[in-house]
Amino acid sequence: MGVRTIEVPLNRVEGDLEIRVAVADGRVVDAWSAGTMFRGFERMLVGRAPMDGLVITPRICGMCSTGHLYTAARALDDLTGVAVPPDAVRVRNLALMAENLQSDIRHAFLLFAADFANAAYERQPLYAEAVRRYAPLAGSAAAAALRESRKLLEIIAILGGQWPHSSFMVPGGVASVVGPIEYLQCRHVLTRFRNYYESDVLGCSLERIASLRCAGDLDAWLDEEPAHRDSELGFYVRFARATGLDGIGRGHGELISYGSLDIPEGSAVSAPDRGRQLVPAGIVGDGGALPFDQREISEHIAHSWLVGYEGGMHPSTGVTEPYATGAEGDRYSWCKAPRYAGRAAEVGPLAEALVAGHPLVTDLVARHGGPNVFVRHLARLLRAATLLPAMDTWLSELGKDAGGLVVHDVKLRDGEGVGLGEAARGALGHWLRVEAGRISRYQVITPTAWNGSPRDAADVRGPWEQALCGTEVGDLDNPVAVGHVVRSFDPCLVCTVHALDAGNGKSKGRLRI
Amino acid sequence: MNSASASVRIICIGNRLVAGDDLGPCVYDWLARYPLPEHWRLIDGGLQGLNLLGSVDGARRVVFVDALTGVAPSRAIRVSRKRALGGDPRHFDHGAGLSYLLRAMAVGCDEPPPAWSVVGAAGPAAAAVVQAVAALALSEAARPVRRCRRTAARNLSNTPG
Repeated sequence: MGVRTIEVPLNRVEGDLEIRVAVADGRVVDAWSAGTMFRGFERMLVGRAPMDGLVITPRICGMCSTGHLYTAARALDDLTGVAVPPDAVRVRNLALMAENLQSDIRHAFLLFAADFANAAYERQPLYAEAVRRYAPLAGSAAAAALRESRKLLEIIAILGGQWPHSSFMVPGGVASVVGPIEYLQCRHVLTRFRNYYESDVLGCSLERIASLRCAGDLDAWLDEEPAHRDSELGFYVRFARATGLDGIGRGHGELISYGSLDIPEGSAVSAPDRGRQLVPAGIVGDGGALPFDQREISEHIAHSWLVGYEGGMHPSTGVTEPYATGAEGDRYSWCKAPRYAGRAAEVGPLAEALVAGHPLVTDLVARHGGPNVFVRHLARLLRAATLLPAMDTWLSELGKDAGGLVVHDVKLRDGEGVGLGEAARGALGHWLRVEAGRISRYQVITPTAWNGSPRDAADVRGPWEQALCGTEVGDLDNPVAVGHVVRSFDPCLVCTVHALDAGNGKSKGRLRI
Repeated sequence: MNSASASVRIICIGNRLVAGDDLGPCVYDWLARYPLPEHWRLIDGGLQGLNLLGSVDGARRVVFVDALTGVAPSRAIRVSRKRALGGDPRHFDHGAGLSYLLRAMAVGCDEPPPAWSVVGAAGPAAAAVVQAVAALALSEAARPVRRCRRTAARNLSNTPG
């Protein structure tokens, strides 16, 4: 059996994640996801003033900085017990939703679909069309994604001053000074994006897509109008089926949503479960649907280059103490292994859709006996059908509430706070403790920590480690399917993938796929 | 004046906290001391990467200032288009850099892409080097834009804009 090392180019600083894949008889038999860079944001915050998290944590990431600001602010809301005014909830929500949607289309058409133009598919009848749509910087969909994602981000700049790394969300609301003129500007931006999404991505209205409830409906929709087949969604369905994306990348089959996007009192927006959040919280998996309790979260470090403790610790009590000498044996990552009730679980749009009981997504997962690359990415493309109408409504509701945009003179105090939300890639949480007016503990669990987690104390693989197992690697020189599996999770970091021989464990070099 | 109405923009990019990548920010700091002509705008591009499309859109001419590698140190240089667009910048990731942005300008802007040039120097950002690069940036910014229709193809060619 040959040994190859594969690089999978993705966003974020190059080289801070490696995936090693053992291949035997043309299939992945094992995988290891290694975070190769220690960043230490949590440690930076210790000893600082509580509000410093609003400036520092958005800089954890340049693609989901609003997600971090949102959860950092919610942790401070929780610490202080302040009730955020309804319009401030709307402004926060709009900013987070704009960031999530622009990330979705950048990921979809600049990262994920770029693999469809891989030479591995030259004999695929749909290859020429894939190149026309997704060739980097030349494809029609790629160019549109660049233009439209950039424009949508103007909503965050209008409401919050800048993107990325804005700090306008504060405990008790937002520090924005915005009014009818700014809301109108946002309306222009949102209208433009919705028009793009409906015409280019969906080929139909958001309402039409939301009416699809099962695989049969999807098939009928595909053949209903040329615009449907020719849309990005229509092409994706056709290409995915032709290339078997619905047969790879299952993972453990456990999924979590923390819940996100509080619905303000009196809003016309309603949640799918009639709850108080547009994106409900919950767990789905082989054990069925369960309510979510953040107290069940733990972080393992058995295979991490961190000072040891046995088993897992809740983020409110855990620490992040790096320790590596190069002789740690089977420790292989700077990342911790988040677990829920001891189980590895994936997060992201698929988790959100299943927890919310999205009928089409639920049906497709059931038909295939669990998640797969096709439905995981499909859920991402369908997310806009949930978010855009709510954005439209909340934008219309702004300025009609007398509560203002912020509660003044919020008193920070000693104690603990938890901020949870759904960033672009899924569940994001900040756990904060303040003692003597200073941050004494700060833990962050990102969605990619969940999805790209290493093994835990029981040697259970992380979600995409597990999802890679069984993936067929037809051409060791160009294992494009490995890229599909990892990218279906939308990792927020550059990933270098090494393929190892299952027998001798040696690596020959690097391949770019 | 905001960037949207400035037809000439000097965008200084780099990381002021990293020696060897701080030339752009140093040039920005130098130029920020002085008034610029009307309809010019000086922008601290930092590490914004693709987000600089917003700072480029609507301009007629853009000059990028950046630290260089692979050239003799301490000389202010106008980078050839071929070199500026070189490498394999097709992929959208953090390693794509300025070359990706330059290519993305052709497809990612609402307005016709601007004429552009890249200036910089290699080596430490010593005061004399910073001033020389700043002077070159101003010279580039003052170049007239050709009155023929700018097309995406021309902006990706080696023809000086």
